[in-house]
Amino acid sequence: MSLDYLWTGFAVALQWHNLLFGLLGCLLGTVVGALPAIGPINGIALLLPLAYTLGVPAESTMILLAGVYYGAEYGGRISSILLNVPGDAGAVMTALDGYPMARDGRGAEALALSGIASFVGGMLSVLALTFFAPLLGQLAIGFGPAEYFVLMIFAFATLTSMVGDQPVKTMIGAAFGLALSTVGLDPTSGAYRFTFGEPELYDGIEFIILVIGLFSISEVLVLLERQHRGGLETVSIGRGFPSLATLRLCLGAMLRGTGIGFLIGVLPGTGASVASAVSYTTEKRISDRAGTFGRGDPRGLAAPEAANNAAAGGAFVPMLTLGVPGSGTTAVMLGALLLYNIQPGPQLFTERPELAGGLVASMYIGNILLLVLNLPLVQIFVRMLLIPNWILLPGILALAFLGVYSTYASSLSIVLMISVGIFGYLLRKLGFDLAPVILGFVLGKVTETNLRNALAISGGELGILFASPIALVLWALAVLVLFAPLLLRRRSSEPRA
Amino acid sequence: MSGAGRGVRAEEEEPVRARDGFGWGERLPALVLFLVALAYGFAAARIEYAFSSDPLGPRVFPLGLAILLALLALAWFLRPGGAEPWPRGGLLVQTAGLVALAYLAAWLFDRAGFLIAMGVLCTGAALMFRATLRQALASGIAQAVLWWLVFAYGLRIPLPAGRWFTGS
Repeated sequence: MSLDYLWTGFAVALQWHNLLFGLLGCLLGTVVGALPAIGPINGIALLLPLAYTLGVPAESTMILLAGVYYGAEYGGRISSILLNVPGDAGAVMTALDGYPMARDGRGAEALALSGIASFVGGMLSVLALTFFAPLLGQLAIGFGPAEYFVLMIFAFATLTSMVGDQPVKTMIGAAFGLALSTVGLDPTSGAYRFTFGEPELYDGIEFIILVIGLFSISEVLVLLERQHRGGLETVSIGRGFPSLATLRLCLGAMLRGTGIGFLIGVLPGTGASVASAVSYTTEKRISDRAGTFGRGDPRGLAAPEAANNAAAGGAFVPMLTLGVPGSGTTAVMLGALLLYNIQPGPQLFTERPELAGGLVASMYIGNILLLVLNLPLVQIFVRMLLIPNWILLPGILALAFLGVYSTYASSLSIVLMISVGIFGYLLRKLGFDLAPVILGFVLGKVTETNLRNALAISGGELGILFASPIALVLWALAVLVLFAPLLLRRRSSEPRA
Repeated sequence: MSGAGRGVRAEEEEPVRARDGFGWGERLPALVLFLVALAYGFAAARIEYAFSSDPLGPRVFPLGLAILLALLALAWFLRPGGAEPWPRGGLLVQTAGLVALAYLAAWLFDRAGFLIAMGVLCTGAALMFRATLRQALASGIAQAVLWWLVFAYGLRIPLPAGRWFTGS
């Protein structure tokens, strides 16, 4: 297997402007992750239109956005540990042992330990991505339209099974996203679908309006509500660094967290939140003999932190090689690639090595930068938590307006964005996760096109969807991920004889 | 993206279904979704096209989605659960106020220009996020000017000066 793409990538990622984009992404990502208000999706949603409008090349945009993504996975731990408020969904489990450590006056130790765990998880997952992605890409070269369609079915099955605790709502979200993707001109037949004669809808629903509205605007509305319910109590950071004995104690937890996180990240549709939850519960089962988990056990902090960073790396594997996002955030990044007219897939590593390799190489550099930023400079990020909501949230609204206006130069787009935001808020109140909607939207066209191409090849025979061994394996996997959790739940609830 | 969870009082975590008995807070949206699915399917069946190079054509995929969405809406109707309570009282007024403020700023954007629209948006939003009037005014004006400088001069992205002032 050739790693030529990686060397090309390092040549790209080490160009001074890409180093700056990477550093900027890491800095912004850490800030975005640290602030309880916004997660990586919001950060990426707000930055993407700017990068696109300013004509930043695709590889630099991806380096910037990837920096925000894994920077946020580092930053998310800060408010989890000090405020007991997860900075993003992936850091929910971090609070379970991180916050008790901080309350014991070990805040600095917890921050340093989680920074190191994040580095271990991030770095090992990039290493795995480096070798695993081209291999998967080689396998995917054998994929035809039928296999791709079944792959999408597998992605939606995984999504339904792993995201949230309400499969029906997850499926509704994904189906709704798929339906939104059918708006606009159908390139195969030239038919206009669901455009109601409006020329603004001929090109379909604009991705940037959808993503900023759904995530950023709805987040501000949700935060208004949360503020109504009560304030925050900050714990002081203190001083200290994990001892060698603590690091040794946590090494196994970090490695297990990395393995679990990477594998869950690779699964289409799942992300850091699932990875950190599975890794925490696994670690608790393996290591919590003294019942210290939940009371400030460093292993309970190290495992989910390594896992959520590893999941971020793993999520890039299916996105780059198959065009199937591994998480909600990579779904937005896939949308970014499509905005640049780049269709990810197995050829990406050979045809666009500067993009795929540049992205992977930037992750090596980014993880080192983030370790440096997050160990000695953590105090600066902690100060970010002191920014009052009345400065921060109007700023997010302003950026959302600017992002949409700078891309479409129309105030009508802003009105649409606000309307989408209200819709996103209503969905969240009704208990929907928004990631499946965006995943359905970005995968919609690929799913339909591959189904239609497959049936065009077979002359309308549905058997083509079950004809190849790859398709059969993917069908089997889809059935397995859909029904295995149900069977496991049933088995665990059966009374033991 | 569930976002962060702050300390929430127990009664506010109470599911919608427990409050309204039959769970209309969720069943009604499920019914609306069912109707939307029907309308989507109806519109899909009426898509006009002269020719398609594949046997499926442009209608079948959205029709399949409409059926799937309708079935899922029924499943949701039959087994609701997991929704959060809707805002009421002062919170409802504040939420509606923030939405109205956002629409107002969008309306002002071309007419009064970026600076005034952003000033209104940021000042009003700051007030809703518990700033004092002085803090809100200072933050609103500062943010409007700062973003103007960053975008119009730093990034060279043209922003509207306002039809009311330029006359164009």
